[in-house]
Amino acid sequence: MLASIYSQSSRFSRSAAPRQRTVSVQTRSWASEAQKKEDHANLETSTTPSGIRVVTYGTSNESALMTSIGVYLKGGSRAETSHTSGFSYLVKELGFRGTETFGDLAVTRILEQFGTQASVVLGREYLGYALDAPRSKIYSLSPALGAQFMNIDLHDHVLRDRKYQAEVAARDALTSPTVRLVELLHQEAFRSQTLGNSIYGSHALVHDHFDPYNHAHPPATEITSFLENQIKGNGVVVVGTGGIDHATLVDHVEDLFQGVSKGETSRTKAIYTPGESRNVLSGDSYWGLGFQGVPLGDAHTATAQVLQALLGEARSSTRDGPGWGVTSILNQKVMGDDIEAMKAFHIPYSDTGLFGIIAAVQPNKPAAASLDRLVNELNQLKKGEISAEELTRVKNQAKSHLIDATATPSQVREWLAHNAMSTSGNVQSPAQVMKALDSVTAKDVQTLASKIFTQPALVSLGDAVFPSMEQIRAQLK
Amino acid sequence: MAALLARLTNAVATSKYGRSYRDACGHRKFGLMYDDLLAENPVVEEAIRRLSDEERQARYRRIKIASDLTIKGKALPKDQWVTDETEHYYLTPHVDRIIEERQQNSIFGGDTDYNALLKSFADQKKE
Repeated sequence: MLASIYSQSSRFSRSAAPRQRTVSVQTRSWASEAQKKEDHANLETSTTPSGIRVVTYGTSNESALMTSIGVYLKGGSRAETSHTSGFSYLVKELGFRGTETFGDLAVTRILEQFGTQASVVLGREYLGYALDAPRSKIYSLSPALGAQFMNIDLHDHVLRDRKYQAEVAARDALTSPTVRLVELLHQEAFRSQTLGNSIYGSHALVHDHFDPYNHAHPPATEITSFLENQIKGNGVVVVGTGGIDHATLVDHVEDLFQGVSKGETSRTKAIYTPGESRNVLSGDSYWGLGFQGVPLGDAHTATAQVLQALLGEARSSTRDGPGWGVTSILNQKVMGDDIEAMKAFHIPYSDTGLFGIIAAVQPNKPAAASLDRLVNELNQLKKGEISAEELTRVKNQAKSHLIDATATPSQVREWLAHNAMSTSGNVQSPAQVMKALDSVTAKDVQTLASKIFTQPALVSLGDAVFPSMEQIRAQLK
Repeated sequence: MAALLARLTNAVATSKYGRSYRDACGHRKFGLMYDDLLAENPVVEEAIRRLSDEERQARYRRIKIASDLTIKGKALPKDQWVTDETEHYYLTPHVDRIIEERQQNSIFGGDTDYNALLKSFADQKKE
């Protein structure tokens, strides 16, 4: 999720355009015969006696040689308090490092010997540990996954070293204006609570310095307690993709999590309470406009995806070809010589969502005109002026973006985990979500636009002149 | 045989003869602990890096006091000497761990049984 939102370049980059992850589609890696069938039959879910949800997706097609298993804990930055702010990011740095018995290099050598790629994913609502490995090796690697929860090396010097690495990583990430804008938008939309907690810890966002424990590193006991609070049966989801056998994975899960008890970390409801944040800085200027989005599993989730694709993205510096937002509303009607790049995004969460548009202002240009043009187009959307041809184009683009975002077993794994973690009901298959996209009508888009484009949150960076949040709210009819 | 030797050594070390030997070594009257005397090779340097700030500062303070006393040809008052009760092997666990890590790193290549190593992840959990 984060990799698709946050750009690595100094301005917005095509490869990092925010993409909504609620829509999925069959991946290219499966045989054409399977693609002709309804693929929801390949999605299997079950729950172990301790409450752990196990999800597998894929066929036993031999062409899918690479498989992926991930263990996801319901927590993330949303689960942090003011005392534990930044803990999730620090724990992320501890992933797949040394254990009580094996040093860092030993763990790495063992995993790499089997052609494994290990990753730790941190989102606002979950922390995930994943292994991508050849099909023949994936099950023998499951003890390595279990060691992440049972046996992490939490010596003093390890926490000190990891905190330093987290500092460097957080500082690098927050130099990206895209990252900073999205973090600030969350902070302003949810008033620095729950989803408003920064992934990098509140200290990093305010003081530009990752510091989860006020100039020291958290003691091992507090890290352990923080993790144990999240390793509860109903808060754990295990996802296997790329032809993983469901029954075999369930057996492995039950063995890995023998001591885990039922129960779930309590979660405070995220309430959208829009605010405004002005950050007067020298250098380039940026603005971000946020609205309350749609939660995962909602009847309008697919509509939000279509709405985001309708707005699309725009960039002045390169000559884009088909499929990169040239015909989007932002590019055709909002883009001007005062804007360098802009894009729309929608991030659904378990009980709410965040819909946003972020933009990079051209040097020495005011920001008010671009915001006026955007508000005007949002008002047009609320009137429902979308042609059938335009709607078809947008839906096809949304579907193709989803194919792109779920092309590999590891991408599908993360997509499924996000959906499974956030909804308490059934996990939808990619085909079901594609059907939902196909059924979106112009009226649905108008209804949703009328509902969400009302209460804006506004974030600005730089020294350009920006209108106030109240002025924008007044303009949104 | 090795176990017998270890038992014998331990018996001597914990006896009054062992205590007398440690007191007679000479470092305790300057306020130094045994781990303060470890020669700083790369392993010990890494072990010192892994100490907490407090432990590292305490080490430097003891070494500084001992250097000053040596130059002056003096020793600490007897009630301030390090004893078995106040001795604290703060560096040895780190040194042992570093040696173990380096041994782990050196076993890779050749006929390393990676499947057995993987299995030992599960064994760690069960212990």
